Amino acid sequence: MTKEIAIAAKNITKNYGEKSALNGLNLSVNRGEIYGLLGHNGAGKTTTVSIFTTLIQPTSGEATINGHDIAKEASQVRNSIGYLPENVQLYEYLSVFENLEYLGKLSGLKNPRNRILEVLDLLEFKSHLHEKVSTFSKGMKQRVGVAQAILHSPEVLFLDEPTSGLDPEGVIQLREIISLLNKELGMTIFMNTHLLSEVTKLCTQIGILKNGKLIYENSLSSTIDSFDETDSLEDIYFKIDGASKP
Amino acid sequence: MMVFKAAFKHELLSSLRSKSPQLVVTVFLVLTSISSIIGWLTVRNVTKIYNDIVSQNLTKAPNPFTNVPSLYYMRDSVIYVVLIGSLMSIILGAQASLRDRKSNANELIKTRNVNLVHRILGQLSAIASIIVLLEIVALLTSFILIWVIQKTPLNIGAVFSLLGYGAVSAILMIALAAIGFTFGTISKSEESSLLYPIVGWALVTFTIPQIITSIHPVALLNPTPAVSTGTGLAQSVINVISPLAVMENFKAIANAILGVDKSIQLSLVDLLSFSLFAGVGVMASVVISSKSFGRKLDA
Repeated sequence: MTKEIAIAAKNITKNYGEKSALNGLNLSVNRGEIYGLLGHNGAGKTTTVSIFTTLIQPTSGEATINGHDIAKEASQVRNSIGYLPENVQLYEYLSVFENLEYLGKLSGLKNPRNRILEVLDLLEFKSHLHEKVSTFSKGMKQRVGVAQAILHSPEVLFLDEPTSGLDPEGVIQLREIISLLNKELGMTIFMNTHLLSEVTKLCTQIGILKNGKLIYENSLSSTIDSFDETDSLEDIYFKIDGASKP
Repeated sequence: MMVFKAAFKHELLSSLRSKSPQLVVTVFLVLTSISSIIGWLTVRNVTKIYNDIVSQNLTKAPNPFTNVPSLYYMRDSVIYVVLIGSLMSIILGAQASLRDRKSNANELIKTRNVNLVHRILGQLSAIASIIVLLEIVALLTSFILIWVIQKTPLNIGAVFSLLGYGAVSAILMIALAAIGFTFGTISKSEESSLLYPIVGWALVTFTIPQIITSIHPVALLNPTPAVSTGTGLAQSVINVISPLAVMENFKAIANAILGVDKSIQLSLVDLLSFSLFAGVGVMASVVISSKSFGRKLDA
């Protein structure tokens, strides 16, 4: 049985003036997977997510989300994705409910109240409904960020460095949430990260990006099977990447 | 319509809860209220001295405040609109668009199917509502104080003049808020988003009127407009750049509406250039802000 493809990129390039951020990127993610895109800073991870989320247009190539072309069917793409950017601060002077009500209405939900309560219940954050975001820790803000991203019930969720800046407890909580969204709601999740530990603990499929090109793509289990038993994922990463381990 | 309503409500909540807008709004309200109170205190003190002099048979001249127009006490508020009201509006507008950029929320919004023009109109309408509300409070305070000073309420004609003055003041401030909003959207940093419109404001408030009138800068703080002077080529230059002296045009229109100085009549040129400034300011803001939405602030 062939699996349905949720996210696909065909020969994508993205140039910023003379500088090339993506250089012939080919990638595909099956429905229901948690895909971890690994790479050093400046490898092109955020540019990739920005193209998939319709924030920017590629210089050339094609990308689709659930079969919808990101350039020609941007509206359908936007309806089927949720996005949590890196370092989202939300509106500090507003409460959790006011933030989510606003973003929910911008997502096309006419009366988002019940859906907000449902999502916050799922994320175990309902008790903070009327608290102002300015009083929250980074981890708590990330939870509200996840809540806004799934408010309109998207099928695909994009997370840009989701655990960046979180304390260990926050990282564990967010990891549990991502796993929950995948298992309970069947969401396809695409996350950018430079943390190998995140990939090991969460992802079912990994891709490694270097200088705007995908140099490796496989399932996590196959990746681990293909290398020496003594290799850690970190060793595997550096072998594939071709960079010397610091 | 849903996006417009959501943006309207969101902007009202955010502006009224943010600290910078709260501060400038308070300063504006306190100053406009004080302007009427100062007028009231002046009348009281002068009348007291006048009565003392009259009781000593030192003068037979009438009390200088006996025949002043009923809206005389409003004249100082014109300069508060030009100075404090303008800056308040620029800050309100700039903060509204900067809020999305500082919080990274503009990235979230760009990944939604949002009609950006509706959203911007919702935000600007909320700011306009705040400005109109402030004007209503300021005018109501003035109405009550003038009633106390004169011991009789304003007649219907004066009430209409007061409302007309309030409307023109609100239009000026809404246009400036829209300009502030635009710079909040396109500027590279928070500082420059306030700096550029404030430099522009200083140019139209002080520099251009100085070129037109050769007046001492301090005299431009008078609530009445300065008179342009020049002959020949100089007058031609003045005629060309006069419409750019937006604050002087506003002062002329405001004074003509209030009827404080009978020598100042409503001029078509002032009205046209003021209307053009306000209309173009708001329209350009909507177009530029929707096209430039999503620009990141420099780190």
